[in-house]
Amino acid sequence: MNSASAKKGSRGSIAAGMAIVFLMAGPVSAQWAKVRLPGTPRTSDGAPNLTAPAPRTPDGRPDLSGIWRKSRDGTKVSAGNLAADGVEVPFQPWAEALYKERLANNGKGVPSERCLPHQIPKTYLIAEPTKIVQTPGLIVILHEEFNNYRQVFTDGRLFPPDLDRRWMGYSIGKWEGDTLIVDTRGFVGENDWLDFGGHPATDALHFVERYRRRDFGHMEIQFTVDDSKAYMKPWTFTVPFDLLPDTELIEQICDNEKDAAHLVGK
Amino acid sequence: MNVLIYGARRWAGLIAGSAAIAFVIHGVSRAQGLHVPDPRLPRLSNGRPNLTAPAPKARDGKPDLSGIWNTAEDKYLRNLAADGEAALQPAAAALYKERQNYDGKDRPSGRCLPRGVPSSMLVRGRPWKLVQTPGVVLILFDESIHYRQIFTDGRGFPDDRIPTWFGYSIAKWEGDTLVVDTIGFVDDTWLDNGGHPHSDALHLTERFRRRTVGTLDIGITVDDPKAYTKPWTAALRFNLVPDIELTEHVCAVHESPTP
Amino acid sequence: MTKLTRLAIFVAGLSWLLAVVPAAAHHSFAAEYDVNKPLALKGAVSKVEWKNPHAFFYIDVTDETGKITNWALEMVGASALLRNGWKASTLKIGDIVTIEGSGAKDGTTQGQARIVVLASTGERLFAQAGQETQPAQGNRP
Repeated sequence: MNSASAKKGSRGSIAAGMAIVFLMAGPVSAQWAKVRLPGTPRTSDGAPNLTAPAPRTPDGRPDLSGIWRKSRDGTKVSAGNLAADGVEVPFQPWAEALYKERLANNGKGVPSERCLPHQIPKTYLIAEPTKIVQTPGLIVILHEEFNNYRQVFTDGRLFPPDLDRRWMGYSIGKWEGDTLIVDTRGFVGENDWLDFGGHPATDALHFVERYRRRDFGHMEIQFTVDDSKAYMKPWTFTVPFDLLPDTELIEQICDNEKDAAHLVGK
Repeated sequence: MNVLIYGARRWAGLIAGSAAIAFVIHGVSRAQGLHVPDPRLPRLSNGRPNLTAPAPKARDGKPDLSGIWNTAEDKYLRNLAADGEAALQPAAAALYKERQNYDGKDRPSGRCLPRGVPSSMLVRGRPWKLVQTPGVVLILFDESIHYRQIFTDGRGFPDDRIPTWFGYSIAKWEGDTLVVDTIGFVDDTWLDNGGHPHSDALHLTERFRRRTVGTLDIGITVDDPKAYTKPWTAALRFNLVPDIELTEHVCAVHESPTP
Repeated sequence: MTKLTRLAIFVAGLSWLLAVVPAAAHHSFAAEYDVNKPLALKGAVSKVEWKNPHAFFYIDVTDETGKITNWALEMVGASALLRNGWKASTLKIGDIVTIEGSGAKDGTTQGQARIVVLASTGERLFAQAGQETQPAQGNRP
């Protein structure tokens, strides 16, 4: 064997050796909030393609599944103030007085300060994300905050005649073209803060949400507050959402609540 | 407003059969679940659900474990080691004795905190819902409106885990059994109301097997070398609660135990 | 001036309190903290609570006379911190840290930490949710 082929042979052995070491090295460190999710459309460099078309379920409907968080741009609506984009809120007089009092009191008294569940829009508008899991007949909405969920029944059922009252209400959904329309009724009266400012709600609250997934990375929810005891007519605001790709919800159980003792009204 | 989606006769049969069932379902009274007929359940000719029919299958051919399940027995919530012996390490034995002497005082679930796994699933009369999807199995509880996620998309355990009340669960199928592995627990939860302790080293295995439409077995193995000298098991059985929907049990204020 | 206009002015006057998503996720920032009480503290970490809805850490701050005061600093919850790149081991007992934040309205030795700087590495960490933002103007979260 001459020296050239000997060198080639030894280079081949080194390469083979390195390949074996690489294969034996095992998977890279896995992280809770960074998970490569199967089914994610990707660009050629492997990054999630956020402008790919919205995925569809086998029955042809848009698939809303994914982890979502309110977009930082595109709206002033926030968990602090649902009316921040300028919608005129048609308060009943007592509700207007209560709202002013809550604002003047620094927003003290919202049920979530004691880790009770958020009202529907507030739970979508905080920094902690929400995961939507769409299945035939049922959409489960998982909130990272407080580890709470909401079920949206899309199997054609109506509101049960003996509906009990819940913090999350009872939600039924149906598709109109590519828009999912969700009706929620049956709230407990104690879940009476729509946002941290304190827009009131009562047990007459009926929410309508219209979900539209524009593309893989973007969705919009239009919320309509229809609470005849607190407002003279329904009022509406729209919130854009960004997909958080390749991540997971992280358990958040309220086991260290210490704020209540420090909250100060006016 | 009340547009009937299904034929009137089918609805009459569903309502008659399920109304009868609603009062005698496996120890769950109407008060513990909202009555909602399920059109997907196989039925007998009298309209009642056929609970001995073979377990249904999911779209991918695996058994479908979805349904609302109620524990068949009270004993496991009192003592998860009811099937045999749980050999405690000395420090764990002392803690167990203390908890037994104080009759369950200071149990975290008495302060609105989660019972953990598996005891969240063992409260007779508080059924839980399993929703099986291709990449994740969800378990929904009415207590505190909490959920568990069991990942079936092939991912491994993350290295940057923070301790959690429900742990981090991944699962794979072995034949018709879903084998669920959970680690990464806080050590605050009690394995049962009697106070069997566990540490943050707990590795819990749950083997889910749906025998029929109406029955689900979960064989659990508690492997926690810091608290027990060897692994121990329990054979948990659950009955389907048909034609209901979960309600909510929201606990009141839960403040931090430390000032 | 219509009633609605009067209300709109009142609300506009106060709702800057809560116009932005409160950094404190489950309660109103303004009910607990006062951005007009800026905190700039330096001390040694005495305890870390890696929990939800808020993670806390406690620091011993020594004044010019040598007196030590223990301060409680509130951050967002452990889940949100993990998403922002923190680890449970990021703050260790004994670490010297400098914090920027806001003091509690009730006058206790508690504050909301916005920025935590580790003396050992100079690393500057954001202790609230989302991305680091400029310090609040007025009593905003």
